[in-house]
Amino acid sequence: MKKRNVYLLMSSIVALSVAFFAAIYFFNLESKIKPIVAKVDQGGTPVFTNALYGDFNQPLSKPMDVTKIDELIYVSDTSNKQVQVFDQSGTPVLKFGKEGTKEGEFKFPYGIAGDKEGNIYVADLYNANISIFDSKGKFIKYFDDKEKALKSPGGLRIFKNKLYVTDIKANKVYVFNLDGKKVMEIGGPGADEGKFIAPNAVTVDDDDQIYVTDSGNNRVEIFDKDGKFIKIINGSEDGKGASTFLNPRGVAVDSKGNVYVVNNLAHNISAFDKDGKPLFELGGMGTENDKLYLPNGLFIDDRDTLFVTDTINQRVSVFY
Amino acid sequence: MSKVKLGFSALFMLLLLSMFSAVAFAEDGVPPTSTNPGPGIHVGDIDNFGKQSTHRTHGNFQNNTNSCANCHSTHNGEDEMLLMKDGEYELCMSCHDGTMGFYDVTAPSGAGTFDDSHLSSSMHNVDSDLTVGSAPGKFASKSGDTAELECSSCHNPHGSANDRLLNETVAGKVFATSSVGGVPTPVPTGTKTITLELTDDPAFVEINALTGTGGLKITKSNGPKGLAGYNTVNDKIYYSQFCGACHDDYFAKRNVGSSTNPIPGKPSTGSPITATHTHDTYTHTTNSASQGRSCAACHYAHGTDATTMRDAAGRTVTDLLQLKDAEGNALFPTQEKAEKYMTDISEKGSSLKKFTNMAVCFACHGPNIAKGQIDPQFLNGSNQMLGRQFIK
Repeated sequence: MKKRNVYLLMSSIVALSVAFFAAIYFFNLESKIKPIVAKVDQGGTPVFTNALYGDFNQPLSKPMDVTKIDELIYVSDTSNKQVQVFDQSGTPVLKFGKEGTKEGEFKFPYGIAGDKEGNIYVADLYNANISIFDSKGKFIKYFDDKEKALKSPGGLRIFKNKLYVTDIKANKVYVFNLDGKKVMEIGGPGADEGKFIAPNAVTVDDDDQIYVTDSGNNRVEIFDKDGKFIKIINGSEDGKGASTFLNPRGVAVDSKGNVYVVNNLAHNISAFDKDGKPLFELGGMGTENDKLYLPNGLFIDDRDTLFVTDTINQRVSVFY
Repeated sequence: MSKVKLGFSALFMLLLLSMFSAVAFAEDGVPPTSTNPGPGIHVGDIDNFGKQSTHRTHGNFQNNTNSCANCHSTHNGEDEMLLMKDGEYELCMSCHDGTMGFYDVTAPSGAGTFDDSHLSSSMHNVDSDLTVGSAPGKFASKSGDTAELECSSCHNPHGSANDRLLNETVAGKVFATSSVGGVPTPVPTGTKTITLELTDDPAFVEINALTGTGGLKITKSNGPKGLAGYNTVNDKIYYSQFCGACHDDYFAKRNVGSSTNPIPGKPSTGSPITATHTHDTYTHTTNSASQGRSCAACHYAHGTDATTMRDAAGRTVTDLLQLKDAEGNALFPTQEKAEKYMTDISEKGSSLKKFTNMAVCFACHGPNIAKGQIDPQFLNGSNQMLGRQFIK
């Protein structure tokens, strides 16, 4: 190859590179590029991709929890006493529920989860029940809590045909079969290991370990599948020091076993590895795209996409 | 050509270098946040004396605090308190909505309720763009008039000498005054004037029994205690002064409503007033510590509805639902019927009352006015209406 051609080739590479980065800079494409980079770089910190704002005429008002069932995103739109449903791009496709105490009505719709059939379970903190709807939003029945254990259901998740629900006033986590039979009970009021004050969220990892956000004690407690206490995550080195959490709420585990905890009053999401070592934080107080303002509910889908309800910003933010 | 070659190579090198350095810079650890200013340093770990700190929800700030940033934005606030506009109510309600179990302001409590979903609800409508100056019974324009009614109009989330974090300053002035040398004088800052009858909430026995969680006690309030407080003034009067800070005209003696009777001072103004008050109306006495004379005797602080109000016999909707006739049939078979009975039909609404309609008047004055006409089942041994016991 002639020297001249080599120089031409090199300079064209330089020119193209400059043009590429200039284009990103001048056309503000950074937010579009970041998710693509994140997709390739699996080990990286999740970045903000988009937000779901709800119907223009009735935007989300105090969205408290979010879940993904099949390819749709379900949000408990708490102050509007309803559930709003979105597709992945954020287009509202459905909403159901209204204020009240009767079938299909809500007073404080909170934890939301789906079963394998695509039915939607919604915990109502004030009505003290869990309503079950079909995927079209039609009320089917109340969850048959055979022992009438539920007093103030908060966080709700379904894993492997088991329903995990936190009871805020009872300071307990109940595990039910989907037919309503209670199979396990964890906690009780207190600050000791294994106890709770106002547990607000629950999740389960691939090893069937149970993670409970113990909001009043500013920590996340981890239990084995039999409900035996294992350890605490609270932001301190080994979970034994003073907590750095401020009103922790949503909790979720990704496919790598990393744990994500929503810090409501610190307006961020703290991430920890399997061993509880801090990894990074997302969010921070603000109204900009990648910021959060009193975030609450958190859901991570099977592609490790994070959905977090951002109550004051009236949206569900998506990080990937 | 060699010059060109050097130029291009150098440029290429620089470009690569800058790209890598940018990446390296971006990878520089966890960005500092409000609770974690640096790696391994967590605000809140250590108290002012180097000891492990305990958690207290309101107040108890450390000298190296960074908690301010959790609620305030130093340079990008959207109101004069550097808060995000319209964010205050949501901020308070992120805990006080029932998701912490205790101190749920939407559930009935000693302060009434903020739940507006029932019949006859009325409340101090925080988060509704209502101005403090629009308070009924407002005497005169003063600072703080145009401020919006918020949770912080009455409560201080940063801590207070008063029970229930009630403000020492309301509508821009120290509300509490006591007589010094015959002149109403504002009490010194940091003086506890609002003392409430607080008892441990039996619903939270286990939590209250805990030690080592920063002294968190969940209590129930039954209004002002009714004991002599700072400078021998009864705390019921301080309580009424608190309300009178915005509802000036309603803080008065019954007989001040004439020009011949000089008003001894509007405590809410913080300065002694000796001017003659030309007042066309008379008011039920509110500046006395006797039963039925403080604001808290008849009104809730937060709000009311059909399910929290009582009738003159002291019965609530819950009580009515238990009532049975001689044959054992329910007198009020449905919640709906009971709530209808308890509906306040007053033209101006239920006005945050503890009793429906004018039942509170009847509960106190009934036996004197309707002498011998009241069914004895609604009276106690002292010929008083059964509802009277609920009046502070």
